Amino acid sequence: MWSIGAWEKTRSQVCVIGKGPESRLISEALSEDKHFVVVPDKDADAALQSGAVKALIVPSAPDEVTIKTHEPSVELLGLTELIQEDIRKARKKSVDKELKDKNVPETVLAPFGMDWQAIKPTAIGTGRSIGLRYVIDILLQFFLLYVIFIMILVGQVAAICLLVEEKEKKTFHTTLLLPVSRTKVMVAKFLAVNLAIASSLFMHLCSLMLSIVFIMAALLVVTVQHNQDSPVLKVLLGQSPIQATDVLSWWIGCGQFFSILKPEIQLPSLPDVAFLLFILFASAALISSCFLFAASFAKSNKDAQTVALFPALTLVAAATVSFIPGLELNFATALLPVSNLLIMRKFQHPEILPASFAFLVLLSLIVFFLWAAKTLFFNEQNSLRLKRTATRHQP
Amino acid sequence: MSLEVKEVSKHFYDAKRGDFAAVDNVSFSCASGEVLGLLGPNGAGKTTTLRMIGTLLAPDSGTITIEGFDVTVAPEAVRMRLGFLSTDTGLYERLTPKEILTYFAKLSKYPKDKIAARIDDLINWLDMKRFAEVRCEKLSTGMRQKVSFARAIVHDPPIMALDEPANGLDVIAIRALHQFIRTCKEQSKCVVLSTHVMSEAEKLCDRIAIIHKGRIFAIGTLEELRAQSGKHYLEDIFFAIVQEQADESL
Repeated sequence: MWSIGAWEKTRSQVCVIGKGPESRLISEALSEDKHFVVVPDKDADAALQSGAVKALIVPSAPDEVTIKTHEPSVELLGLTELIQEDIRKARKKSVDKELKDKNVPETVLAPFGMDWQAIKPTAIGTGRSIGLRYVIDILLQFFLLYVIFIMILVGQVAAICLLVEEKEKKTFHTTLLLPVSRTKVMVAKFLAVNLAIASSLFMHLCSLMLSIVFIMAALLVVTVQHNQDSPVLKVLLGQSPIQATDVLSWWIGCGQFFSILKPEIQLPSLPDVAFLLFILFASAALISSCFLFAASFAKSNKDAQTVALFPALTLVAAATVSFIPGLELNFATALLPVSNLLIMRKFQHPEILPASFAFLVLLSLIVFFLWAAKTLFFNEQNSLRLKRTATRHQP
Repeated sequence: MSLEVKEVSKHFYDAKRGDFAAVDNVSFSCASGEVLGLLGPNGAGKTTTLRMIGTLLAPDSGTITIEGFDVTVAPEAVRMRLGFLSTDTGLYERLTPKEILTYFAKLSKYPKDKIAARIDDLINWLDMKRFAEVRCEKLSTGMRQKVSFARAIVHDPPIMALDEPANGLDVIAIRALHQFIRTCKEQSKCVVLSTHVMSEAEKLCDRIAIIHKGRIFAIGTLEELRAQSGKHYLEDIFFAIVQEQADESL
């Protein structure tokens, strides 16, 4: 049972009704405040009627408190505000304790080696302060791997559509009858696959950036300000589902996110951006030529999907290799296409010789794949076989 | 001569037959305003011959020249002067007939300022106005055939190679095709028509080449073939000549 407080000029008398943990929490919070005295609540309603108590505090829901008063007045409005502030503080304390009990890190981004409260990243496990730039670089590695996955997915579909559908829809000969060389036709298809990759990547990255900013901002609101009323925190603790109205507060977080990070982030230089773009273009070119080569073997869409599986898996594996810790660009690693590009990205200034060798390997592979695709796709015997098959199937 | 085919051969490898001659030492020519028919059964070598003319296949030996351009030396120049039509020349389904015609005309280096007028003429001539702006995937077989005709002649080529164009067409579409071939002849185009339909060859061709097992057994006007074989109907002529050649080879 909780109690009736005695009304004094400096200490408002309130009583907290109930015996649950919420009532206990509120009661404790009010007891610590200089404005209130909390005593056992026998005859609480009678005390309120007699004027001995100014307000009865009833926890009505996990996030709500009902305050019952005998006579509403301006003085009581001030009292209400004080009570509510105390309750907010108590809740914050309680959530902190809950986070500690559940072993949730104080900052949600701590596992990434980032202490957002100080806006100074620390190396995982060492406590050593490291540059934010380094952390962003690590994230960029993951991001590039993700981009490669998208390229592989789109490149595969586009190459199959551009080559195999020509045979399936009988436009193969129509294309061959165009007064342009076979090499030009293949190069045009290669550029079309690259264009498909670039445009889908652009749209995908735009939406991804919005999502990242949105989530990061929301996390920042939680970790930096310790805003215990943050809807994000409630979602993280499983206390409430995501509400549509949360969107507004998350967007406000975006503004805070940028204003805090602005002085800390050193924007990449123009050569860095150019180098990153070059790596993306080189990867797209390699992936396009590789899938055109694979698709040129196939005679049907189904066939092509099976044939393209092997290069797809190879490319994914090669991209993942770059994550091996301590792997550096040398003449051995420069031989691994895709990996060599991603390893090169790790080091801002790779050695010139291994880097040149890596580019030479990539260029040779792209030229070989395109030449092989052209030779296989426009193969004479192949086209005759197609005709024979078509004739055989006619009723 | 607009088209000259001299001692052309083409061999293929087949698991069943091994190395075999699809076209064996074939020679013929075709002048402007002439319709030459290649008449023979399935597998006679008609399609392979036309594909070599169309630069889709390279001959193993012999030469093919179109208005002086060799198919192996200047394939792009040949394709600019050739209108090729077969059941295998499909249409790009996501494009409209107008877009396909513009695409082909531009790539064939047809004078840019005349492309629009040329396409309008073709659309009116082939009565394609209703579906000129509709995607090809939504067109009926007859409509698609008309678009294929237009596609083959949009760059106004002096030579037409038609590989069994009537295959799979209904009576109305076949009638339109025959009219199309006659118009090509009126426009002084050199037309090489491959067919196994005797009546079609009889009706449309100025000269007929009888082709069987990759070889041309006889070539001439219908009257000349009648005189050579002593038969009246083309079907009888065909079998008489093929039989005669078989006896000779035995």
